[in-house]
This record gives sequence, C-alpha cells and structure tokens, in this order.
Amino acid sequence: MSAIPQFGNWLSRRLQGSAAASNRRGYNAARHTDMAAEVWVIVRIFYAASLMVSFAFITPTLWKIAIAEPMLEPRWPVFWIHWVDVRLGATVLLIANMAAAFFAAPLYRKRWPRVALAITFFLSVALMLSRGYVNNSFHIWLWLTFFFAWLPDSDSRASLMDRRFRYDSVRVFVWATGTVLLFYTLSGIAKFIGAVPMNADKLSSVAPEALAHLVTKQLMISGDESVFGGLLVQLPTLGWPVYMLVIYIEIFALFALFRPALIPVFGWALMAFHIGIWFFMGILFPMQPLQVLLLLVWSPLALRPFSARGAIEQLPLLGSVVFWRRTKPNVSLMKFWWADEWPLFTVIAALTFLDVLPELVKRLLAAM
Amino acid sequence: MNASHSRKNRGAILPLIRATTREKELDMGRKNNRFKAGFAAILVSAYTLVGGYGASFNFPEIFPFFNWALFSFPAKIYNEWVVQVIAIDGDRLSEPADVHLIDRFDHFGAGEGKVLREWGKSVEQGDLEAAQAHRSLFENLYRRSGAEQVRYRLVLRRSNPVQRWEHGTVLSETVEGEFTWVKDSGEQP
Repeated sequence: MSAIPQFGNWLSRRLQGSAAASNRRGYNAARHTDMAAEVWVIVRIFYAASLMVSFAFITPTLWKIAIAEPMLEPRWPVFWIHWVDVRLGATVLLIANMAAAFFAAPLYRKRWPRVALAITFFLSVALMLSRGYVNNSFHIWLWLTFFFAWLPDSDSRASLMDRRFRYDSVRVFVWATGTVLLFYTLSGIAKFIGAVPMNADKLSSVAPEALAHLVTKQLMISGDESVFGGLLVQLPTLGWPVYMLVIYIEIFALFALFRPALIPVFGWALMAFHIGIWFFMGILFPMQPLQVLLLLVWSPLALRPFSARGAIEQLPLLGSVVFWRRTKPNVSLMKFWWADEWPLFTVIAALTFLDVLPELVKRLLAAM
Repeated sequence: MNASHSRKNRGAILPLIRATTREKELDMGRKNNRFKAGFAAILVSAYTLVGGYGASFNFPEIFPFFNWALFSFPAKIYNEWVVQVIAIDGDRLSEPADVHLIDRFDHFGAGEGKVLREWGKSVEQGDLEAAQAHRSLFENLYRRSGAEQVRYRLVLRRSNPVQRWEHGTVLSETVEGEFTWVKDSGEQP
C-alpha cells in the first residue's frame, strides 16, 4: 500500500469534521438499496433532460455551424473536421448526438446508449467550442454523461437485490457528485485568489462594491438590463453579503461530499445562486439549476432525516463553533477550531497552489 | 459419513466460513476505499493543475478541462476591446455602433467578447499572426449575418463599469485599426 492512498483515506475521514463524524451511520443494506434506487430515478430524469438539452441546445448550434461553415479552430477531439467538409462533419455529428439522446432517454438502463451519448455529446461540445472561445455552459453536463456511462447495465428493479449492482450505482453517483462539487470549489478558489488585485485596474473580490462592478461590467458587455442590476448600482454594498455568501458556498462545496447533512443545503444555495445570476447579471444558465437539483437537493447521499441543527454543525468553519459549544466548551475555541478544520484549510491551500502554479511558472519563465 | 455427523460439521464450519468471508470483504473494502481516496486525490490535483494551466496559458484551454475562474476578478477600470461598425453595405451609420448592440446581426454572447479580448491582446503584444487569426475568427462569427460588406474598427475602450452604466462615462477610446468584412470571403488585412 503506497503512502498516497493511505494519506487520501486518512484525509477524507478528517475532512468530515467532528460533527459529521458523530452523525455517521453504519452500513445498512436497506438504506443502501434505497440509495441505489434513488440514483436510478435521478439517472432516468438526467437522460430525459439530456434529450431536451441535445434537441434544444446542441442540435441548433451544430446546425448553425453546418450551414455557416465558419473558419474553425478545432479542439483536439474534432481535429478531423478539416479532413472532411465542415458541413458534412457537423451534420453527421448532430444526427449521431440526437440519435444517441433519442435512445438513451428511454433505454437509460442499458449501457450502450449511455456510452454513445457520452461520446457524441463530448464531440458535439468540442465542435461547438471550436469557434475561438471556451464556454462553460455544457461542461458539467458533459462530465455527467461521462460518469453515468459507467453505471452498470440493469434489466429491471430486480438488479437492486444484487449487492455489487447497488454498490456500483452509488459509487458512480459519488464520483459524479464529487466532480461537480470540485468545479464549484475551483470557482470559489478563483474568487478567493481575486481577493488580491493583480494590478491597479482591478478591485479586490472582497471589496464591498465588487459585485456591483462585476454586474455592471457584464451588463455593459451584453447591453442588457437585469432585475436587480439597477438596485445594486444604487446600493453597491448590498451586494457584499451576497457575494461573500457565494464565495463561501462555492469554496466549500467540495466538502459537502464528506458532510452529508450539508449536501441538500448546498444544493438549495447553488440552485438559488444560478437563478440569481440571471436576476443580477442577466446571464441565463438553464441547465445548471436542474443539475444541482438532481445531484444535490435530491441526493441519495444526503443524511436522512434532514436536521437543520446537524447541518449547521457541519458547516465548514462556522459549524465548529456551534459544535464546540455543545461538546467541548472547556477547550479554547481556537484550539478546537483548528483541530477540527485544519485538513480543510490544507486542501484549500493545496488546490489554490495547484491552481496558480502554472501562472507562477509562466511568470518565472517570462522573467528568465 | 452419517447424516447427524454432517449436520454437526455444517453447524461448526458455516459460521466460520461466514466470518472469514466477512473479514475478507471488510479487508478488501478497506483497501478499496484507500485506493479510491488516493485515486480521487490525484484526479482532483490533476484537474486543478490542468485547469490552472488553461487559465494561465489561456487560449485554447485543454478541453474538456476548464479553469472555472468565473466572475472572480472585478475591474475598477475595465479595458474592453470592442468592434464598432462604421458602415453597412456602403451606408455610413450616424455614429459608430458596437457590433453586439446591432439587432440585424446574429450574436454570440460571451464567446464573441472572448474572441475580441484575444484579438486585442495579440494587437497589444504586436503578434500580427495571432491578431490575423483572431480577426478571421471574429469575422467568421458574423460573415453570414445579413450584410454584404461591413466596415468596422477595433477599439480599446477604458471605463469604470459602474460610472459607465450609471452616467455613460468613458475614460478613453483608442482606435487600433479599421477593417472590412465581406460576406462569404476572407479579406486579408
């Protein structure tokens, strides 16, 4: 056994925090069967929604590429597009993706349509992003199609009686949830890095008027108005608690995976966040609230029954304070807090370092 | 072997087999969990590193990895690269208008802004080859967009976003070049 997996296992236990560890439940076959059954309900809805996503968003965009035949800067998965006619390539891809979505929705229990959708969705998004820019709208959906393709084949609900089947179903769901939560954490870390302005033209992300500047810049780019944009310009400091809450939720999203009472809480918050982006910035993220609903709010991994007190105690950084008062008030708060949460700080610090490492290397190379 | 002897043995051995199997399962489970935790840690690190690489060395990012730096760096002074349309099919506009605000063209949202930003960056750095490539990418977004010939200029606009949104105040506008895009043809600069 190498040291890295041992360290990983030890760290994952430590990341749960004392409140989460005290709420931990033992293995329960009935609960596990329920979890696996719920996973498959979510997978069913996901593939139904994939049919809509493919038909409403992917197909029209690929067709636009096919008829406009723009000069493409192909992403690596569609390097071959210049070898064939762009019109032909884009048309074949849109038909293949639509066919895969068409079969994956009703036949979601079979692996082959799920694999077909994962491949065609991957190629379709790669082609859509070959027009000179990167857009994150489809990334989460793309990674979900990839993960759900790994779910085992299932003929009927009888499969749930098979322990291996239940285990594999839940495991894939854990990986999918963890990956999506990692994306939110990376977004939060970028905002955390933005607290230190890079140059005189920048504003710290923790400045009271930061959200007002972000919102007005976005509205300027789009030329639109938003529901709360005007209010935010009138009262810029009103945006400060909102933006701080967003940074908190995003940066600690990954840790909800280790603290199951938090999963639905973060789900509600992230759903509100995505809808709020339209209210403040006028940017529509139509798929994201649904993703969050499926993966987090309805998560089979969440602690049942939900307890508000349990969730508050598991809140990263803040929950330790509550848990400390209930369990070890004789120990100093700082000592308890650090003992409980230092692995969380360590992971955030490591991810921040990895995130800025290429930039540091780039600057070092430029200086040499 | 008689029946009673067989029953007796079964009674003694089966719990032992069950216990051993359970122990083995638990042990395998522990090893498996350790492996998965380590594997997850490595994948998380790799994704973060590759995403960060995409953000730093910027264009293009390594698909399907993404840096997730979204609305992270508020600008006090916003340097915005814009394309202003001067004339459409020979008809001069009363004053140059931002291309993304003209209704007769199809628009491409945030992606268009990113292409312009990259074009502007290559102009700033004096990288003519990259500038030409990004100009072509930009023109290709619009080439089928309902006009035979469009005269336009690339402008660097500096403004405070809040003041500009409230009062329309622009700190400066610098014209970096004038070009023409022609429907369905790639005019070279």
